Amino acid sequence: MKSIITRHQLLPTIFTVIGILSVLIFPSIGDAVSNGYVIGLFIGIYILYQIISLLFYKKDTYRQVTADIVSIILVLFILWELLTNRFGILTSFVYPTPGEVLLQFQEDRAELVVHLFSSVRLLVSGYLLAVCLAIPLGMISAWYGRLDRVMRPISSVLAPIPPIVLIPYAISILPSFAASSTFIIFIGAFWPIFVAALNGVAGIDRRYISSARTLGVNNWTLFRKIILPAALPSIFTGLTIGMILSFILLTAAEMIGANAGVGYYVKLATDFGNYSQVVAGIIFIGLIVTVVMTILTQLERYLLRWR
Amino acid sequence: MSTIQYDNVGVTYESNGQQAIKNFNLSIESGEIISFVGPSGCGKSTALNVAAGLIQPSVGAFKMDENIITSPGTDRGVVFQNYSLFPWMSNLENVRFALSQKSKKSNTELIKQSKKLLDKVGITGKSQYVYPTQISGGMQQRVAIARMFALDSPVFLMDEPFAAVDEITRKHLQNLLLDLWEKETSRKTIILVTHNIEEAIYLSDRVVVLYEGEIITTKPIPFKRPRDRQELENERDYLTIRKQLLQAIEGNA
Ligand SMILES: Nc1ncnc2c1ncn2[C@@H]1O[C@H](COP(=O)(O)OP(=O)(O)OP(=O)(O)O)[C@@H](O)[C@H]1O
Ligand SMILES: [Mg+2]
Repeated sequence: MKSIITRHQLLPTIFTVIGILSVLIFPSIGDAVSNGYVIGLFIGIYILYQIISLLFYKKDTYRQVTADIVSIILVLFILWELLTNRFGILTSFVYPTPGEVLLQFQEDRAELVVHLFSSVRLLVSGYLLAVCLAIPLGMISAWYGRLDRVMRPISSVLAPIPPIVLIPYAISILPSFAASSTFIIFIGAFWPIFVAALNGVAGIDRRYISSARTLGVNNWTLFRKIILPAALPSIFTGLTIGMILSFILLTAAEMIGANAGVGYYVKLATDFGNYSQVVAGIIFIGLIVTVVMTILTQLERYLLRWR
Repeated sequence: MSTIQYDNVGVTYESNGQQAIKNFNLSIESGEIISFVGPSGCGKSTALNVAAGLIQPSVGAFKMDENIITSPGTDRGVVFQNYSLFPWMSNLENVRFALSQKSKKSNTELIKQSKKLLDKVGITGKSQYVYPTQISGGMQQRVAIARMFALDSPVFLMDEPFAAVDEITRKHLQNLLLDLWEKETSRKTIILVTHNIEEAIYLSDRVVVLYEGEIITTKPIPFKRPRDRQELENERDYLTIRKQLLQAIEGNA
């Protein structure tokens, strides 16, 4: 008979069971959250794991990686629960228990969605603005030697200025927080993407251009069919770095001067000493970043499938 | 049509001051097949790239039909020594893309035509749809040849096009090239770089031997066409010519 649990699923299943057992065996110290919540958390993670695993049903290595990562997450949750809520080693109010954080998520879910939209709107507008300007400008600069020689030194001076230092100033000179954080994100994402596009085009193997010329392609086709795809691998490294920077800058700006957004949520919770909210916010931000980066890498894999 | 003339061409690479070819004088009649042979580093690729318009002569001029050539053009199809297929296009797309640059035909028609060309060079079935990196070097070279055929320009410039393929495929591709050449009323002018003396004799009207960037011998190959490999090797002059060419290459190497 075929076993119900495959080789990959062994570890996550074991840790889920251990998690549930540890909740049932060791008594809870506090009484804020019932055991059902914590058990629900473990089962929730397990179900989520099964869904992701199904998506990768064809790719054995991905399934293994997913199983391993989920196992690590489960272990962390078990340790967290045991240390805070079962053995009472970390009891101070700055250490919320997993159950408290989960409860906080549930209570704040409507609020979190509002913050999410506020953050994503700024992120997308600043980032897309940077993408739309940096890619063409970088490529054009690389193509025209004169512009290239001007832009390289300029970018090597301006690019390393940490955009974080601009945040307070941008907030005071620009009319709204939305405008200033969009601007900050734009600055942060612009340079890595610009430099990547510049290097991408400058580094194209001349033989591709020569081949295209012998085929008699016009300039527009040359750009679309040869230069852009040839520079794309480099551009994508810039897009990834730009996205990470954007997110850091967004949350930093939100913590400094916003009245909405995920960074603001965490900042406010810290100010009020609501640490289950702080931890919930941090986990929430982690989830957002994961989703955004996954979208970006999937796009990259699709567009660079020829590699 | 397409008479080609190297008029006292010299090329010095700026990057290292290397004088790759010098005093290069050669006239090629329209419809002629010419081979460049010689030891590695003697300037064969450089001379071919001048014809392709990818390298500008430092001195002298390269002319086609009396016009000085300084850039690549659709009048010259090129197969480079290192395959220069576009890795982001499937093999089929590489050929279709070349066809689409000059043909106004519908896309389905172009794809059909591309498949036919790939079939001819022995790239069939699934290999047509994968990316160049997913097939062997010799197969990539065949796709590059199919792409040059697709271009159907009056001049073909080929840099060791058959070097990376096995003996049987090599003969097949040589015959394919000759068929194409012989069938046409206005014959293509072909410059072929090769390391293979037999190939040079079988295909060419003249074999040009290069040494240290200079032409040291130009040997006419008098055998009538269409040629037959077996008969050729039994010709009285065949061995003499082969020996003279080998001596020209080796005697100086
Ligand atoms: N891009 C370049 N920059 C500098 N020197 C070069 C360049 N290309 C070739 N050379 C030099 O010019 C000379 C002729 O090179 P070329 O590539 O034309 O030789 P070849 O006859 O094609 O050799 P092979 O049979 O190995 O392909 C060599 O000495 C080589 O080192
Ligand atoms: Mg060469």
